[in-house]
Amino acid sequence: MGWDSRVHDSPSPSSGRKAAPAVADPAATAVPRVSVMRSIVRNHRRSIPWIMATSAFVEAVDMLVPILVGIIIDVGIVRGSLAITLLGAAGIFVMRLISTWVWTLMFTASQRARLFERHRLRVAVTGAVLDPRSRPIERPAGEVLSIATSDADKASDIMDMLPWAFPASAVVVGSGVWLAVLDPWLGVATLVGIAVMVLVIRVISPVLSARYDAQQSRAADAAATATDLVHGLRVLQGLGVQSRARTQYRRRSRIALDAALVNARYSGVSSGLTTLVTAAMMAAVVIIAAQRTVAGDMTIGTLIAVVGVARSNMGMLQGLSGIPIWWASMSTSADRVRRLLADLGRTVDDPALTIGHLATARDERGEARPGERRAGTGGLHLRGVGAGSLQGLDMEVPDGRVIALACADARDADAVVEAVSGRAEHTGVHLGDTEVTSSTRFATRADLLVEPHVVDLFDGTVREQLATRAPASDPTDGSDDSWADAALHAAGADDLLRILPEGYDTRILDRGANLSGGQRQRIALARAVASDAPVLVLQDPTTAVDAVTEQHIAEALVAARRVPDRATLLVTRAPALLREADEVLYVRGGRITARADHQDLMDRDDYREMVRR
Amino acid sequence: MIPDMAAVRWDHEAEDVLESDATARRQLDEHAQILPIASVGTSFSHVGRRLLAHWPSTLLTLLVVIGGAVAAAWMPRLIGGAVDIVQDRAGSAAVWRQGGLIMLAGVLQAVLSALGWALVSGMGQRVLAAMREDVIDRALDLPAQTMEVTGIGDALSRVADDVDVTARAVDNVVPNLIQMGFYVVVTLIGMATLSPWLLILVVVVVPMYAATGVWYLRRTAPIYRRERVAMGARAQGLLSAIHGIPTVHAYGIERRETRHVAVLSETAAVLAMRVMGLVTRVVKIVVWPENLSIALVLILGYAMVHVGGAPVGLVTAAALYLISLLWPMMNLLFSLDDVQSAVASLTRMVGVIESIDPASSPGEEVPADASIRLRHVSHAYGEDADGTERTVLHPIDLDIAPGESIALVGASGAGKSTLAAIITGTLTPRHGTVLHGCADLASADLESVRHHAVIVSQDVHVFRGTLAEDLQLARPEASDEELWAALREVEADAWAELLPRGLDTEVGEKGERLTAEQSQQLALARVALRDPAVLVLDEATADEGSSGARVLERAATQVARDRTTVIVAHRLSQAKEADRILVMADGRVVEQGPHADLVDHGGVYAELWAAWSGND
Repeated sequence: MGWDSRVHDSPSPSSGRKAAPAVADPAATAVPRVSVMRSIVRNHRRSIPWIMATSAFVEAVDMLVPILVGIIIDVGIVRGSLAITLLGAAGIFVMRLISTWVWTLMFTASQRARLFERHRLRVAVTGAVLDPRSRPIERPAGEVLSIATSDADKASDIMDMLPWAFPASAVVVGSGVWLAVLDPWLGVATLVGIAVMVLVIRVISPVLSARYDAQQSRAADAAATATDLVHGLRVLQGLGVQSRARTQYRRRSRIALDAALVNARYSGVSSGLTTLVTAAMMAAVVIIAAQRTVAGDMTIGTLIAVVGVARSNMGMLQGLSGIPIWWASMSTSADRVRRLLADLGRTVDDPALTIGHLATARDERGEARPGERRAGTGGLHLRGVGAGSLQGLDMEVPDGRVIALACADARDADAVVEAVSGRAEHTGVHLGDTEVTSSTRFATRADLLVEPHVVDLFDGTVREQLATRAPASDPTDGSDDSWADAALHAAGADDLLRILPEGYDTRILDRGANLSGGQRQRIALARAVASDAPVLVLQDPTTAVDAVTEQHIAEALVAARRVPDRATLLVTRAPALLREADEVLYVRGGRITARADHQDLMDRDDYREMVRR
Repeated sequence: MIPDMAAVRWDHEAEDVLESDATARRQLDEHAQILPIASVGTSFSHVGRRLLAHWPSTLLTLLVVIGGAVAAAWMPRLIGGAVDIVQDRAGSAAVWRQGGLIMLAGVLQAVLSALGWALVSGMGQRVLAAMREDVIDRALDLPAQTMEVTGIGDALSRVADDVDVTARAVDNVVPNLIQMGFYVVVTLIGMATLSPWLLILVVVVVPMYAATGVWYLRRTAPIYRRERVAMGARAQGLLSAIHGIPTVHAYGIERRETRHVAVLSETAAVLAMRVMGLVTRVVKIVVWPENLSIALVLILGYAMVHVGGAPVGLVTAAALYLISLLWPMMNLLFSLDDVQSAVASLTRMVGVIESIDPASSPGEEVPADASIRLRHVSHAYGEDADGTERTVLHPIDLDIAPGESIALVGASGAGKSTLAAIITGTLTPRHGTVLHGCADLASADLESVRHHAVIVSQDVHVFRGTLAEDLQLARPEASDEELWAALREVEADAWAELLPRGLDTEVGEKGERLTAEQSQQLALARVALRDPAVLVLDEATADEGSSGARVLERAATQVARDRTTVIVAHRLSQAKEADRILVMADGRVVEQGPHADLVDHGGVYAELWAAWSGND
């Protein structure tokens, strides 16, 4: 197979079998162009030949049936032999039973391959999108979803098409040869029939697939509008503009309808044209074969067989005529999968994206044993951090302390959090002796948790939420929830246990859809506390809660984190949190301008002004 | 087999596959279909009614399709005729004439099938378009509480997935199926008219097919249902992981989330393979009636010729009929899958359309002014196991004067948001009446109330389309000048001017990403354009993070000017400015009055204020 060598010649970033180091930084290297379709075929290169062979056998038997029926009518019925009629009927019976049995084997194998490929592509795309080593994703989630589902499905249809398209074409050619041997004019008629059919298809299908694509994109647009409106339902209802939204959707729906109607017309014309070609071919075959039979060169049986074969032939051709469109949508989809992976800096053959690897590899956070309790790291040190608006910020967050960072300019706060997140190559942020950078940040995750300000919760019970990264010593089977109680208390969320119908076993939906904003924020905070990270960084953890609750949180959170080998950084301007912190660092103009406790800083006018929201 | 392929647990039950993932197990077990699903009968009669509404084109479609089938079924008979012509040693002219007739039948069939396809598909698309619009129509009026319980997943899958599944069926399967179906029926009739002997065949074989079809559908239906649930959960898992990538990476749970999606994907694959197993069984069963009918046609043919004295051409026609039927019958059987899933989607769409009433005006009353009056209003969400209501708001009476500003203060769960939603009219209280400008909401004109009172909730959403389109949701006829004025009012003009194409810049999901603060400014700009008499702000400026709180607060104040305003205040600085503060606890108003009075009063609020302002 030609494509094998071509792909293997190209420099692959993932040639090493040992997982992590070999693929450590695919984003840095140019991504080779690895065709998804070829990867699929290569995966099944061993089974495809026998699948195609058995399929050819099955198709050939199907083609043989009209020939045998012709012979039986001739020899059995016309010449009046009951024995041959019965024997022939039994023969067809047995032959078709065998071919059916063979077909089921072939079908099972090809479908299994197809379903496997769907699953594999989907998992690879998911793995690549979520893998922190991939380039950051820049497409809307909805598009990624549609690539991981509908495009992965369509691309895998190649395993559905291959076993059928080539054998069927071979049988069509074979039967054409048989007709030509019987009579050259029959051969010519068949050839012309095939040529016209191919011509018709070649002319129609490009137009048709363009139409189909247009229809699909209009339909997708309408669907996206629908999804968008439902996502924004609360906003629409709050504004009371439902009827306006309705009008807007109707307009898109009508545009989609118009495209669909045009497409329906084209599909109709294409189906009509193929029918017409078939009929012309049939008329020609009947006339030629009948003339030959009248002339005595052919038996009635052969006439019937010829007509039957020509008919099945055209039927198959009609089926085959759908292949270009099918192929077009298949390869478009395969290419979409490839492009998404390429954008992420990955290829479909990346060994780190195989099902086997993804099923067994554990999340790498830099721990020797997953779930171990981590010892203190000596705290977080920022030395001359100049990210964003910062002007060489120096600060220490030592073990055993809760430090608050109050930034007069919100951009400074964002810059500090960004630096600590370690997305740049050089940050000036040190965890113990290690600088937190884009290449070390995944190994420092075990010791440093920077809780994102925007809350994201994933489907799971309350207990599972809290256990997201809790040490393995915390039991998650409900036998002892004291660790979870402590985390909830630290997040001022004790009341949630009373409110939620099933306590710790209450299921929280994706994105915390069944919680209020304040509840979501507190669950996320409790999750962060439960992780017991040696260094914890929180940015404005109390923006969605009311003043009463904020006060509870401030006291409980600081108490929970004030442990000898734990360091905590609170980036906030909330007075409740500032007051409880061991020390407040006041940032102005990109550097620390004062460090003291909250009460002392309140003597400064600018600080007081900033805090008094 | 490649190793990874062997790793997929093809021969296991779905439960085994899900073993390692408790969340996935729960998702497949508990998948709550909160929105109604119609029965198949109801759905078909629903579609039937829609088709009847377009009866002239329905009739035309029917005629064309039947005509096409008749033309197609004429073909084997003409070929049989050709055999007879040959047997009778008729001349070359007769052969040419027969060939001409075959061509004519072909032309007819081609024209009618082209027309039929376009008509059937067109009809289907029209009906579908009307239905999807109705689904959205109803979804837009779904009560917010329903959404809170189920999440919006179910509603989303109705408006997107179900519509998509049905549309695909209408594109391809339905025209094919209808043409094939009519072809089969007409051909069977054709065979029966050829010779009564062939009727035996029809009577023996057709029930076998039907029984197989029923057997197959019964088995696949539950598998498909589970597969769809798995696919839904899979989509949800992927979406939420992508949305939550910062959290996924911070916690180092990318593999866990990938595995979650993978397990659901594997479950769907295993279930789909089970269907394929059933397909092979069906084929193994169906081959018997097929073979039986081929054998019967030959044996009956022998009897017809040698006992009944029929011409050989007739047997030929019968045999050709039969062979030409094998493929369409099999095709019909396998399109049952697509039909089945399309029907399942149809029942879900019709369920929404038929069971949820389109929002209609409860009455004609129109608010006379911007005053608000609550009479014995209380509210409860659902009931506990023992039947007692879970009260979230105890009976309350409240009078708000036109132009007055009210702040609601209290801990989370005190009932502030419930009260705010009731005041706006987006939530109908269990008990009591709400009057806006003397108009009872229970008997007021829907559109005027919607225009009268607006609530800005914590949910911010930037809609797909251009910035102008987003704003025009609030006022469709607004000119560019008005849009800019609204943006200026909320101080959003500065960043809006910097957008690459100004008001025509694509925003929302696939356009320019706006920050949370900008999105909230946009929400307030929409309010300014909508220009309601009553404005309720529920946490509208609370979750903006650390940046720009004051800009938003100024914008909110600006937009609230000259309107009756109710603010759910998180920061007491907001409450301080209000004409009246309502302090809430456990669903009750425990204190109310202006800021100064409450501080002097020395109650709950005074304590709160002291703690908050740092003067303790």
